[in-house]
Amino acid sequence: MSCSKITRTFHMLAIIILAGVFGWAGLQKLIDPEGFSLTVFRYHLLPYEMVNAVALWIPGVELICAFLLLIPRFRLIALRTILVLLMVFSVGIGINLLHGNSMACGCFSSSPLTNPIGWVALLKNVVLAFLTVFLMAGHAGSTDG
Amino acid sequence: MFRTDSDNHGGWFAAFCEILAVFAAGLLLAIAVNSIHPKGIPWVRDWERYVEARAKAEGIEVVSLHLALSYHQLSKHLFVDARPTAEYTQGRIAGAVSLPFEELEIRLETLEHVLSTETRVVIYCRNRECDDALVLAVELRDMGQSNLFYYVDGFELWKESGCPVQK
Repeated sequence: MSCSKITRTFHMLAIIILAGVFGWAGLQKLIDPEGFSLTVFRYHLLPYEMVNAVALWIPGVELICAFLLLIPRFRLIALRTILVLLMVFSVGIGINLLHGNSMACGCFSSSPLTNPIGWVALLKNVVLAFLTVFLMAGHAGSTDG
Repeated sequence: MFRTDSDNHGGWFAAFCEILAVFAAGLLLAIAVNSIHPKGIPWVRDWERYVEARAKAEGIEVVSLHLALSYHQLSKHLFVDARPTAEYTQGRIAGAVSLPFEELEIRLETLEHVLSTETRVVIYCRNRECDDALVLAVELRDMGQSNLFYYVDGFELWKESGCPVQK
């Protein structure tokens, strides 16, 4: 197998993984909006009036991004949006870690009862962000020349 | 509105608009799903009246099930049940003492041997909607208790999750 073929295969695999991660995350939150709204509330970063709206909106965006990732024409748009989401999530997690809060992450589950956030959760977001940047660079490279 | 890959050569404004479009699509999806979801939630909720928010406003440290269970396993915290005595006798967190708010003055004397100002106390109630534990926590704090924790998820979830209980 040639080097470029290996790269394209890895690129495609990474796209599928990222789409799977966000699709699954969004679906879990859409199924249990009550649980996820409590998780968002417990971050104590939003005005209380916005908590439910954000809790409903985030999984919608995640699912749209997961879907768009699988369509080459819209892949770059999805990657950019995912990067923005991951940066926002990371900042939210980081702030609460610094405050010593012990609530659930809400990253891949709607339940506020899952393991509390830790630096590992933040690291996962950072790794996903790097993966996203890698895919964006690969996408740009494949469209150049 | 959506550009093809060959058209997409930079343009921060264009990228920004595209991201906004995805956000808008996500919002539409959320509206659609929430409108038909059997467990849909209101778009705006008065979270300020939520017991947990009130606890935070009072400066009482709030812990969820996971952390409360860790404290329980460490055996360095005294668990205090703020529910009525009848509920306490039917089942409680293992090792918890009963201290309903209405009986605070009567019970406090009998608990002096386990409840000093240095004792780490975890107070709980029935569930997240019940505020008896919060009222008790505020009262104990005003009486000089400093190491107070409010276990917000309550006995119902503790029991449902298979955590240690006794009757």
